[in-house]
Amino acid sequence: MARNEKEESIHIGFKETLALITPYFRKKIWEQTKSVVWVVSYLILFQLIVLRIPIKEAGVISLGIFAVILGLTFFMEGLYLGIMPLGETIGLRLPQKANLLTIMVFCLFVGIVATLAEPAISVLKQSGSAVNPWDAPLLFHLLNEGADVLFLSIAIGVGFSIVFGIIRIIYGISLSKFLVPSLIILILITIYSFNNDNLRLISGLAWDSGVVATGSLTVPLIVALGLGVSKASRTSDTTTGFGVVTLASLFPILSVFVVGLYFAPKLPQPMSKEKFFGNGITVEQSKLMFGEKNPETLFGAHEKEQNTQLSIHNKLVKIIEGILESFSGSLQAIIPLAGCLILFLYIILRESLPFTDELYLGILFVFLGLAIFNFGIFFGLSKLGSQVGNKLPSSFRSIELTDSTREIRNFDPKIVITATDEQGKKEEFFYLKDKKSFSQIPFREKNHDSQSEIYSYVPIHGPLFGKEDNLLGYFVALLFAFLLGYSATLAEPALSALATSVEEVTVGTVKKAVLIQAVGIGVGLGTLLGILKIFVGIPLLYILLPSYIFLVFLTLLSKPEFIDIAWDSAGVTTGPITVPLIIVLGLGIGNQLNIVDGFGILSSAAIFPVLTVLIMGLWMERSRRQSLSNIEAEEK
Amino acid sequence: MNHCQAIRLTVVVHKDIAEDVQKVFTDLGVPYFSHELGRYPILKRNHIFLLNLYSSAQLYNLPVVIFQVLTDKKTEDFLFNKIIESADLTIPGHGSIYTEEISVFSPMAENLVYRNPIKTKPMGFTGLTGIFCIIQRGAADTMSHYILENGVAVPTITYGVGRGLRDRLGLLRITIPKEKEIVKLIVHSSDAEHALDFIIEAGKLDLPGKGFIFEYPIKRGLINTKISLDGPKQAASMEQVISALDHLYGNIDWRRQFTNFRKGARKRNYFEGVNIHLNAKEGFVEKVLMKLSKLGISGATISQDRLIKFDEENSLFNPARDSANLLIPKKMLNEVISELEALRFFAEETEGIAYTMEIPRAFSYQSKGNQKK
Repeated sequence: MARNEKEESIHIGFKETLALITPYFRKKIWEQTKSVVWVVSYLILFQLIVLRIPIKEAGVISLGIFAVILGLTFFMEGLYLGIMPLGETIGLRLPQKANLLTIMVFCLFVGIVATLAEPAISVLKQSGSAVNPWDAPLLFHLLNEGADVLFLSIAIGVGFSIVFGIIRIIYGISLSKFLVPSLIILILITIYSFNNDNLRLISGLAWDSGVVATGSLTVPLIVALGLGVSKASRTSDTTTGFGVVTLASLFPILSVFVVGLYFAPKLPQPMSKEKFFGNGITVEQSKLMFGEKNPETLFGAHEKEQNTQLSIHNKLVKIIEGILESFSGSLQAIIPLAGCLILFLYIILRESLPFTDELYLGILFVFLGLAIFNFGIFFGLSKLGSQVGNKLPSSFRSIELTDSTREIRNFDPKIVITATDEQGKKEEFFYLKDKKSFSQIPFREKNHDSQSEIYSYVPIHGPLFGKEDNLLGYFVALLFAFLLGYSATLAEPALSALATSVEEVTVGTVKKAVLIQAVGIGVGLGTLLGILKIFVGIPLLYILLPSYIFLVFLTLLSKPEFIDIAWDSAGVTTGPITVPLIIVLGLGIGNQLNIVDGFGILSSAAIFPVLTVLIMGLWMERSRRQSLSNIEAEEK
Repeated sequence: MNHCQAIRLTVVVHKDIAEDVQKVFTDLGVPYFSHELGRYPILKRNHIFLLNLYSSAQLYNLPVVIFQVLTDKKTEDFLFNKIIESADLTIPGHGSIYTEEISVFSPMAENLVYRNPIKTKPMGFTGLTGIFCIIQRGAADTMSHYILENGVAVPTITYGVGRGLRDRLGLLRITIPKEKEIVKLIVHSSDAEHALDFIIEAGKLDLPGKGFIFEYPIKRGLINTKISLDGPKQAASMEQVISALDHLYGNIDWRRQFTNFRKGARKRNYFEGVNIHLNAKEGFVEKVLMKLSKLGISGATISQDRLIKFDEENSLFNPARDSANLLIPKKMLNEVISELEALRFFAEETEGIAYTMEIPRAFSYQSKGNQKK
């Protein structure tokens, strides 16, 4: 109140600066630690206590987990300081200053650039190496030689969905008018593909790619853009500006199917390996699938890579390479996106933000955060996740721990003893002295190298609960899937950004924590069902069809504001933390049970959050009505 | 600069009946009104044992829409009654309505005001005081809990962004959270001082950086009495009994509860001034405030609302708006208005409107040098 003569800026000494920065940084780190701690401690405890397998490379993993926390801290702060205000400002000005065509071109462009920069998409490519070309030629083509076409089609799908989403908000059209027709088309295509061997195998990929397309960078940007547009729009009174993410996770499914339909006639049908290499495919088909490479050299003598011990030097080199790679990846993701947004803001809209320094700091934070985070995911969380995921089947089946193979030097075959069972079948085993105890190890001839006198011994683990394929073991695996889905979701950055926006827009009537819990439970249920799908071998269609019909029914019952939020949370759930963990889980179990594609878990994990959030919305609606009408009801 | 005296009518209604209010405005041809989203918390009584342990906050937040419309003195009663009628505001839980006397500064001030020759009898109660309180984001739930438990009033909460000290720190400003919560409540005038005191205690506003509070006079109002989600256990719920008594007495004097409240409470240093409410196209308020800080005015809270004009063809205002509340010493009012004019705040490009009202009592932490933080 009192008038100060000079209020330009305050000079702050070094000590005061430190006193401001330290608590700020501590608070932000603590926030992220709280979100990550569940999934990490859960994975560690599960492996140590339930599976009873020590954790390999614990040092690197803990470094990685620390990097995840640090990276998330920077990333989230950068989102709130830079990317989201930028997106919102552009969204606000867009309908006022640009004509419809410019808006459409801009949205299409942003969608494509943002999606191609999305790190989560490369996870799909990684999983491509696990597919055998003869089992699923089309799937193999799309994930290997045709991967660029696949990514581009996903990106174009996202681009178009942003165009439609923004137009929807400008003209105030309700989300269900877009949602229901596109769902019907998608389900019809899925039913059609169900009868074609090749297409059926890509339907899992298609549904998953819709989910993967919207990641930690795209979602906050899209949400902010939508919020900005909805604020400036004259017609939207009830729509909240959410719902663009939903379309962004539906349209790519369609575009992947379209690409699949285009390539399907050009590729061979699935066949056996022998037939595949024995003139099963034509030259053109081979070219389409493998490019210039010769398939037989790639797959003819396919042997699993042996895990050898790396020297400390090599390990360090690997870590440094990982750091460099994640920094360059992050740069590739940020520069085009931020550059394109800033140029658009300054040149086409001729606007500026009130605090430009904050914006640039935010973008720098996002860059740093993304780099550290990716490094952490790769070296920490993914490794931990794949260790647990690959060993999870040991709860119901005995599995070989290939990564803890040990070599026994100077092995003398004379110590092998023969044992017999009730049927008189003979089996050979020997005693191994391990520290101070002696254990019996079955002897396998192929593991013995008589020349070097080395016996490589692969420890066998499980089944943990009773006999092979016991129900309790399956049950434990399902419970694990639920808790993994749930706890990983709590750490998901895009969800956190969405939930913050939701809390902001609803002025605290939908609390951030409540929304995250609801989504977490949904993802947990979805993962559980996805794993069940692999266990029992249900086709994806049988899960998708009834769930979506039920969802459409629930959607019709709900209020528009919850519809938008609920469907958006589906697209958001699966980001850089959940996707690798769930895919690894799916592939790990799929490998043990010899199932071709471990895809489809993600899409099932993305359905259930919609369900839980819609139910949460209906529940809140009930209390709202109660607060209004219990007295009126009394009067009637 | 054009300016005129007007009545600002504020309606806070449950979101589900907001459409009814909006329909009244459309039907009557109200030229401009703004709406903003907010929430009002009510107590929930969990009877499920474990859920009680799980959720520490015993509050349930209901979404509300806050409408503000300008009218003149002659039309006030008519509009007031129409809105009460349409949204059934006499029923607890539906919402509150109140009016204040303000001055409007805008090149087209006269056009913003709604006029209608129909006269009706006045409704609602007089002798009310509004309390406006700005606190750190997240602090409102605890405070509302105290307020509701003690039956002071039903608060309305909205979100805002604070400005002031932190903007002068350079980039270091990001270390200070700018998100604020604005708590508004309406109490009986004779309780106002005690309620103010109560809130200062509840929100620890006498500590630095905790917040800012002021009271403002209200001309006429009807206030929400619903404080709990519980259904009635008796033939009539407590809220119904209260609102029936209100109508019986024709005022809410009987509700005075702070008669013996904390006698000999610490004497606080209140200050007075004028509240300027700036409303402009989104993004511009911030720029203007930055320039105003040269006059020594710092510390404002920005919130976002939407200004609606019905006939679409010739819509003069952009719907996305920023609002800022800042408190200045009374003697500076003219200086600030002319400065705003010089900054082209009222120009077409910015679409600025300013409302002012006198504030008899305000409070915030003050350092020894009597300098506002």
